[in-house]
Amino acid sequence: MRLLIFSVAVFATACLARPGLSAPPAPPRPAPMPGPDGRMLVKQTCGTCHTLGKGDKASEGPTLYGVVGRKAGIMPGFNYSPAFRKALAGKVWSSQMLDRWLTDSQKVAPNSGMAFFNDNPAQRKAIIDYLAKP
Amino acid sequence: MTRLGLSRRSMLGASVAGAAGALLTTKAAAADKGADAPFDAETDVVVCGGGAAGLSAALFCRWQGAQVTVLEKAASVGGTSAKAAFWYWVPNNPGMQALGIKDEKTDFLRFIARLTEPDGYDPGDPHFGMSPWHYAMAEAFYDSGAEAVALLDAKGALPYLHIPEAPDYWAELAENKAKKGRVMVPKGINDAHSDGGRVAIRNLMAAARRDGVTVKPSHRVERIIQDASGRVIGVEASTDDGSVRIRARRAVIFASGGFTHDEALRTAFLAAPVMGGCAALTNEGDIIRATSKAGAQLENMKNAWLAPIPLEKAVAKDGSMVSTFAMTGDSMLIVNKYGHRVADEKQPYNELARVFANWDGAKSEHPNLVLMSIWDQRAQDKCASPYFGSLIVPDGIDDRHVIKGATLEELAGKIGARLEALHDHISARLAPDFQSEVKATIARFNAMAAAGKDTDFGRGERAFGLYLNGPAKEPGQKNPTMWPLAPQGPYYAALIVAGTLDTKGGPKTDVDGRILGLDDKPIPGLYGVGNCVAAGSGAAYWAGGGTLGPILTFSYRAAQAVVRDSA
Repeated sequence: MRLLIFSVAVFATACLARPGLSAPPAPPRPAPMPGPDGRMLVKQTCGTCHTLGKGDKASEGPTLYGVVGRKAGIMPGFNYSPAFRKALAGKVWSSQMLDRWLTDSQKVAPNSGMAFFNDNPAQRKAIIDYLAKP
Repeated sequence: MTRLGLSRRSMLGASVAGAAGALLTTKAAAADKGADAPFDAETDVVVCGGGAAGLSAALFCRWQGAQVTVLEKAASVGGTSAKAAFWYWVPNNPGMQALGIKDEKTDFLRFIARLTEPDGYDPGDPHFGMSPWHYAMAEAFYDSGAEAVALLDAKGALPYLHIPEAPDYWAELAENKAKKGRVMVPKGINDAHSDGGRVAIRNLMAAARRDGVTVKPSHRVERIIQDASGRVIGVEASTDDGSVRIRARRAVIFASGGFTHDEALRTAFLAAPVMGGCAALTNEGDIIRATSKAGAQLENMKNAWLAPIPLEKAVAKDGSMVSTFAMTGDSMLIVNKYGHRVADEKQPYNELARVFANWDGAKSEHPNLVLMSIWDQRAQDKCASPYFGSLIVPDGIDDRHVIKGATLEELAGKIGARLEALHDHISARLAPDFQSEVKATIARFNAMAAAGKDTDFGRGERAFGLYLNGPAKEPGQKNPTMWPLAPQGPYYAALIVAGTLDTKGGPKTDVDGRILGLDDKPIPGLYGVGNCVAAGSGAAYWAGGGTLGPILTFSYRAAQAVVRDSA
């Protein structure tokens, strides 16, 4: 019941945001661009394990700020798994490398810590583009 | 948080009426569609959510011959499970059987009753004082847990490692007749037993791909679709390119997690003053909105799997936080704003987190709304850990929650300043005599630590506290969990508040995962597993692994029910 009242209240508030009778109607808001929202994808998916801000230190995963173009496995203090180091030592997180990683992280570094699988090239591109320019 | 996907038909309405109108237009358009509008895809079983609950349910259905599609809201599967240590607690499990460790059913159910309904517990009652539903759920857990985990292991989807030395959180209760042996972890876990979730998800996903389960990331299930009789026959999900309707010929199984990250639902329902948690950020209680129109009955909404969380991370909405499972440090104690200890710091995290809700009727306040863990340089040097949400962290690990002072006076001043800076989020302030009181508390603690006995709260007297504490840090340390704080600084502090692993209330199911209506009858075609539905444990945290053990078990039972019901 409380949830129903809450939902009704939200809709009612939205409806009340009308312009006054004497003012011209507000210009129509353009529909949101279709396609992946890189910022949302990074914050909601990557952000469940990785810190994202400038100067952030590692959390469950190393910080992703500045990751594009960075060498893999070098963030101080983070315990990369032996499997990760084996597969990725010396490699650089180029856009192409990140794209392979986000497609199937276990294929790139079997038995490493991150289990990430995304088969949508547009989403992966949106994520990488946002990481490159947060 | 997620943009509402607009169906192609409602794009025109959206551009004319603006955002609010778009919301209403889309909902109106969707409500008209019902069973007769075309579907974009179809399968036997739609699973909403790709954490441990969803992936295991998908596999259990697939192994019985069903065609299965997992719809995952985030850009990849894993959910909260991927971040978890992934202990799973299973009574009479294959490991116990192999070692001859007894775990009798009647004894187990009595123990569960003692924890789940302590207020009505009655050892002489046939159901030990539990409600019929709690009893049935506990019985189902006992009956099917071992089979479920054995099958996952046999299929190579979740090979296990038995950890017979891990003590139950309630090892000291007389009703617990098997104090060790119920804990299993994914095989391949690290030595700290902290990364089980990553092992589990990669194994479950590998099996899902091997066995032909379809997994679609970035699909947010927003609506169920019912036919004229009320049977659930599909879902509507929003994606980057608009919404899609997917037909489920046999069942829809929700495994979408709790509502930790929906502030409105938290405030409306939770008993504890929870400010956030380490659940997947996509856990916003979607099942509640999606199934309410079908009349799903809600149960256990006030409860959550609780743990302390750092206040700064909660306020920053740091999605990457891990709740504090291990309260590290021996020269460490926790005080409230009055400078007083309030609990055994080393008790299981769910129990420790319950003190945040303590109420002072004279002052009309929660005196423990925010607590401070205080430790010295010695603990910083010896007890730092990157695991289990330790507040004491090594270099390179996120330390935004750490406050440092050269002296206790300076530390107290900085704590006060930190609370002041966060006053938009929390009203607590240090009491005027905090400094003198905390010094007295530390002096008292130090004397108890030297003697090796916490006469106030019994720290170090329970198996759980000793197990997560690790070995003693000092030769001849009488109580491995206690050491006097140093007379000189620097000192460190962290502000902690109530948090969750995730919530544990939602639609009520029967013992086979069928979601029930208000009349306690199953809504045909609709099932739920995991933290999105009501846990059978009430407020209780039965043991480490007391989340995932039941989840894997009920996932198994739900899959069996799906096949029986749709045969």
